Amino acid sequence: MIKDLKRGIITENPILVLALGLCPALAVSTSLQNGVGMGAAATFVLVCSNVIVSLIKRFIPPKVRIPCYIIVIATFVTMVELIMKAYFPDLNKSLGIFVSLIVVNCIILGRAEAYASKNNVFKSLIDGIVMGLGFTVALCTLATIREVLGANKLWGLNVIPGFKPMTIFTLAPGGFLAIALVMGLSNWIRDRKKG
Amino acid sequence: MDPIPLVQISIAAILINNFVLARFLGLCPFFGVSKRLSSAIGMGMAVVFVMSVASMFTWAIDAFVLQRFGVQYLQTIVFILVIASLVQLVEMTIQKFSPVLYEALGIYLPLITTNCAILGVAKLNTGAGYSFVESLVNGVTSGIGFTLALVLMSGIRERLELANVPKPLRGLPIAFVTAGLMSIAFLGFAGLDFFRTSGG
Amino acid sequence: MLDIVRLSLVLTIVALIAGLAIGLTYEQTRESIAQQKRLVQQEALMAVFPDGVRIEERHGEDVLPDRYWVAIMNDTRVGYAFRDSSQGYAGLNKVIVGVDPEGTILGVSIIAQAGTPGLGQRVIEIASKKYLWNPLGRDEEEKRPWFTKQFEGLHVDETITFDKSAEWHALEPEARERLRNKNQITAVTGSTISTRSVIRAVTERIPRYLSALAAEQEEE
Repeated sequence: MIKDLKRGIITENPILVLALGLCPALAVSTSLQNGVGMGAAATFVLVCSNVIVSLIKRFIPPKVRIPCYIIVIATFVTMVELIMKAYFPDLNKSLGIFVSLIVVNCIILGRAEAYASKNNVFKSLIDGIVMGLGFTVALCTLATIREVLGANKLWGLNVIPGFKPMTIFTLAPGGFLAIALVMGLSNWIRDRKKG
Repeated sequence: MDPIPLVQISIAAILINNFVLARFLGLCPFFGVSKRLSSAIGMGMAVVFVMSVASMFTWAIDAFVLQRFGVQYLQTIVFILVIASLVQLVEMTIQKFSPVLYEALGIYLPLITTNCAILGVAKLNTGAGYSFVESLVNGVTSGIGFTLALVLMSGIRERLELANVPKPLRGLPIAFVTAGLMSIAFLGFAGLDFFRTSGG
Repeated sequence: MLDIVRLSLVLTIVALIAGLAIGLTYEQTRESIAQQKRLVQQEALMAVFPDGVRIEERHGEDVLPDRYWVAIMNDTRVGYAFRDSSQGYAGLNKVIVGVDPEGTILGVSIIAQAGTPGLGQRVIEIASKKYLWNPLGRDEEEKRPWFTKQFEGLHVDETITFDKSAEWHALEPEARERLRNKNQITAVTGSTISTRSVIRAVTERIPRYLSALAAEQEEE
C-alpha cells in the first residue's frame, strides 16, 4: 500500500516523471484552489474509469477496446461536468473548458489501457487512487509556486506583506518555468540519492 | 461574408492566443514530437488537417443535432467520439488514396485522438458561438498556430542537443524553459489587439 | 461478418449504458443547475441596483433586448439593468449592467467570464486584506470584486478608458476619485484583453437602449 503510494507520487508521478497530462497541469495551476479542484475531478474520473474498465475487460473484444474506454471515460467526465455546474459553480467557472478536457487527459486513457485492462478490480482501484493523488500533488505543488510568486497569495489569502508579485508566474510563461524548476529539482534530488 | 472578423480570428489563433504557448492545449505532442524538425512538420500538417475537418463536423453536429434536441450536456461525449471516428476515417482514406501522404502523416494520426487541442478547438468554437465559416477558419488557423510553435520548438531543440545543459535540466526541463521563453516572446503579440476599443 | 455484428453489439451496449448513466445524472442535477443560474442572475441584479428598489422584468422590442430589468422606487424609474456580452480571451464575457436613466453606471456584475484560469479570472477577484497566518482576521474590504466596483459612477455614453499603471484596489480614495472624473478605470495587470472586453460589453449597446427607453417614456 505504502509502496503503491510512493510509486504514484514519487517514482512514477504522472506529471513530473512520466510527463503525462501536461495541459491541465499547466493551464489550471494558477491558484491552489483550481489545483485542488482539478486534482479532485481528475482523480474521481481516473478511479471510476479504472474500476469499470477492469470490470468489463473480459466482455470487450480487443478491436473495439479503445472506443469503449473512451466512452467510459467520457461518461464520467460528463457526470463531473454536470455535478460541478450544479454544486460548485465558481470552480466550474474558473476551470472553464479544462473540465471537459479531462476526457483527453492522457493519464486516464493511459492507465485504463496499461493497467486496468490487465489487472483485477481491487488493484485497479488502488492504482486509480495513487495515480490521482500523484497528479493532484504535482498540480498543487505547481499551483502553490505560481500563486505565491505570481500573485503573492495562497488560497486567496495574502502571503508576504510588501512583496511585489511577479505577474509572469500567473501568465502562460510562468507555467512552463515553474514546471521546469520542479522537474529539474526532482531530477537533481534523485541524482544525488543515487550517487 | 465580412472578411474582417475572419482576419481577427486568424491573427488571434496563430499569434495572440497561440494554442500551445498561450492556451496550454496540445502540450503532449508539443513536447513529444518536437525533437526532430521533420517529424514536427509531419505532426503539424496532420493536426491542421484533422482540426479543420473536426471543426466542420463538430460545428454541424452541435448546430443540427445537439442544439435542436436540447441535449448539449452530451457535447463532451459526442465530440470525442466524432473526433475519434474522424481520425480513423481520415487515416483510412489517406491510406487508400495517397500512400505518399500516409507515409508522411500515418504514424502521427492515431496520436491525435488524445490531443486535447482538437477537442479544445471544437469546444472553443461552440463556446464562442462561431458561425460555420468562423469555426472552420478558427480550426485551420489554430492548427497553423500549433504547427508554428511546434516547428520553432523543434528547431531550437535540435540545437539544444549540442549545448552543455546542467545535468538535472537535460531533456524535458530544458524544453520547458525553452517553451517558457518562447511564450514570453509570444506575449508580445498581445499588442496586436484587434479588439481595441479605447485607451491603453 | 459475424465479427462486425459482435463488435457493433458490444459498442452499442456500452454506449447505451453510458447514455443511461449520463441521462440519470442530468435528471438529478438539472434542477440545481437551473437554480444556480437563477441565483447568479438574482445576485447580479441585487448587486447592480441600490438597496430598497423594486425590480421588474420587462421584454423589449426593436432596439431593446428581449429581456431587461427596471428598478422602481416610489413609482419612479431609478434605473435599468441590461445583460450584454462581448468576445473575451477565450469565449464570451457576460455582464449585467445597472444604469440610471441619465447613463450613470450604478453597478456592473460579471456573470460569466472567459479568461484563462488565473488571468482573466481576476476580473471577478475580490481584493482581500487577509493574511495567510491570520485567516480569521477581520476583512474590512467589501465583498464585491474590485474590478467591477470601479465602474460605479462612470458614464456609459462617454468612452471609458483605462490606466495600466496601478490596480484600483491598491489606490487611495483621492486617486480613485481622479480616475472617476476622467471616466477611467484601472486594468487588471496582464489581462488587457479581458479589461477591454468588459468595457466593450458595458458601453457598446447600452447608450442606444437608454435613448430608446427615453423616447418611449416621452410617448407615454
